[in-house]
Amino acid sequence: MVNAIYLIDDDASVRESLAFLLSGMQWQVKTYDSVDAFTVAHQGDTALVGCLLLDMRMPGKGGLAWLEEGEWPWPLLPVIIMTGHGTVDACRRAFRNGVFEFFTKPLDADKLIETVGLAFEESQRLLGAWQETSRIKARFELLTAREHEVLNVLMEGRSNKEAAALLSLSPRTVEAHRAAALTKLGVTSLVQAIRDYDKLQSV
Amino acid sequence: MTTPVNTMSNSNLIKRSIAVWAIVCLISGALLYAEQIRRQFWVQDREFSALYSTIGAVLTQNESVLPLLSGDEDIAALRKKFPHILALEKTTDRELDAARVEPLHDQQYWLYNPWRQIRVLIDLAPLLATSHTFSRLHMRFSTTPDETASGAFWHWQRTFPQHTQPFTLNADAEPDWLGVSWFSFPLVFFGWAVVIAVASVAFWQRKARKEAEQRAHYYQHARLNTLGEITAGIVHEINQPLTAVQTWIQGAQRQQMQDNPQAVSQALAAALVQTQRIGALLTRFREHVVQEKVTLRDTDLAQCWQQVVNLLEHERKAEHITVSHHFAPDASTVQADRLWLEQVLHNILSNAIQAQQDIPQGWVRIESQKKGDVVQITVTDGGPGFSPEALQNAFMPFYSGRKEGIGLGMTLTESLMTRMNGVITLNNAPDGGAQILLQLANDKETSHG
Repeated sequence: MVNAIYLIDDDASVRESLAFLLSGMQWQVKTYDSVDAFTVAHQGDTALVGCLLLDMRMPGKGGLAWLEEGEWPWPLLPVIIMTGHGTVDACRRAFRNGVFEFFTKPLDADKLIETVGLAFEESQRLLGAWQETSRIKARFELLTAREHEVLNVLMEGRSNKEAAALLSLSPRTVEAHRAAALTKLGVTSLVQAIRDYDKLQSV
Repeated sequence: MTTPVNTMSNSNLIKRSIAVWAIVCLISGALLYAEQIRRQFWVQDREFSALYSTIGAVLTQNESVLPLLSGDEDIAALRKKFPHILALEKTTDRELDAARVEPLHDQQYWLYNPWRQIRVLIDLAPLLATSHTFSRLHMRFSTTPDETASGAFWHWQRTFPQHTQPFTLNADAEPDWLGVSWFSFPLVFFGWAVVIAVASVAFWQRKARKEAEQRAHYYQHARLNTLGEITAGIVHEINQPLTAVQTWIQGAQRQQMQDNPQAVSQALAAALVQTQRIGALLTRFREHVVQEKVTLRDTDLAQCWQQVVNLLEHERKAEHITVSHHFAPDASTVQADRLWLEQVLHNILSNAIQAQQDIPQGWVRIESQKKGDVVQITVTDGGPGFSPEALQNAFMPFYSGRKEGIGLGMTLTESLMTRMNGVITLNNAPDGGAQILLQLANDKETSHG
């Protein structure tokens, strides 16, 4: 996935000038004149990376109102709000909805470029974490039900013997399940399996 | 008061006044009636007392005359002095210690001398007959109180102190219920009507004034709100192209550093388009604001000024300010729009009042005089005058000498004067107060010429 700047503003002059400025940084800029245009273009595209430049007040749906709707389908996309009416209240609302940065118009180009750079890094970090989580999730899904059960008991800190007693299995069988599970997860020790499992839980 | 709301509240006020009047009349009528009946009682009571004293004197006379009589006196001569003695007789073999009073009939009785065998016949009827105002009046020849209820409205009963004739004078009377002086009632009612009418008018005036003040306050508020909205609108309209311009220019700077002249000139052209857009917005906005054309007419200065003074004199802040005027006969009218001139004078006067809040005895004086073709109006006050900074900036938008001021009052004043082909000049008077000179054309010809 390549970083791209998704710019939503109802004013064509602002769109064009920002596109010019940001294209000058060799960044890919995609512009939309309304929230709906963006939504239609990227409905199921949850893995968008880069950043979203969003005007707060627009005809139709305003940026802030959109963020407050709840379910946000683009978890990897940091949002930068731009507004001509920068009240403290609007700013507070924006940050409560998890925006990355809040700008008042007119924008300062240097700050904007710096912030977009930071947003890209954030987006990549989110992407990395997301990919890692997906990989681990896929591996855990390879385990059979029995292996899962054995691994759960072992991860609670019990020895092979105790696990065998608890699950009414022979210690040797437990040993076999454990070895198979670790192989499937692609790790060499139980400690590594536990760390992966924690990453999965924290998402 | 032409609005329906006020008419309604006025009719309410009238209704309420009439109701108050009716109640007050009812109460005062009842009190007046009771007072008159009480007066009747006083008259009766005084008469009863007078009668009681007269009869008491007669009884005392009887007691003192009887021992002096021998029984041989000439009754006619005796009656000349004591007309209530009807007869004088000698008795025989009567016990001297027997009862000394022997009632004969009605108001006559025999009075016996305890030492001699004589008696006199006393008749009290003529005395009692002198009074006609009592419904019942009679003498009981005993001290025991009259237990029988007479059923009369008023009742008097008093016993005489003379121990040989211990009688009781009884009297009954009825008030003359309809005999009160009726003409006083309409007088009282009319008096109340006048009082309540005066009070209502005063109240109504105060209310009307308060309403007018509130309305003025409201208009002021509404105007400020509108101003705020307009300003927010301008800010919003201009902010977008301004953002674009800034972005274009900053983009151009970056392209310049990367030595990309084509992109630079493209960006600058785009920025230019946006600055033109801002210019167009401002022009359009000014067209919105710079409104109707005005026709200048002969306007009476004194009337305008009076109107403004009327508007401001009731303000609490203006109570200690003396306002005086002198308009020269040949400079009493100017070419102006009446409302605008009032607005100008209003701004100047309220500024003068504002400037003299800390001065115990403030004053404002307006004078007009003819100077060539124009009328020069001078408004002087007793305040601290303009600071050098204020003299410099007073007409600039958003400059205000006061903390809470918006700074548009004098700007508006100046633009109104300019649009009336007039001139406004700010000075300080030699003795320190503010002095504002207004110049307006005197008549039509000069205003065109």
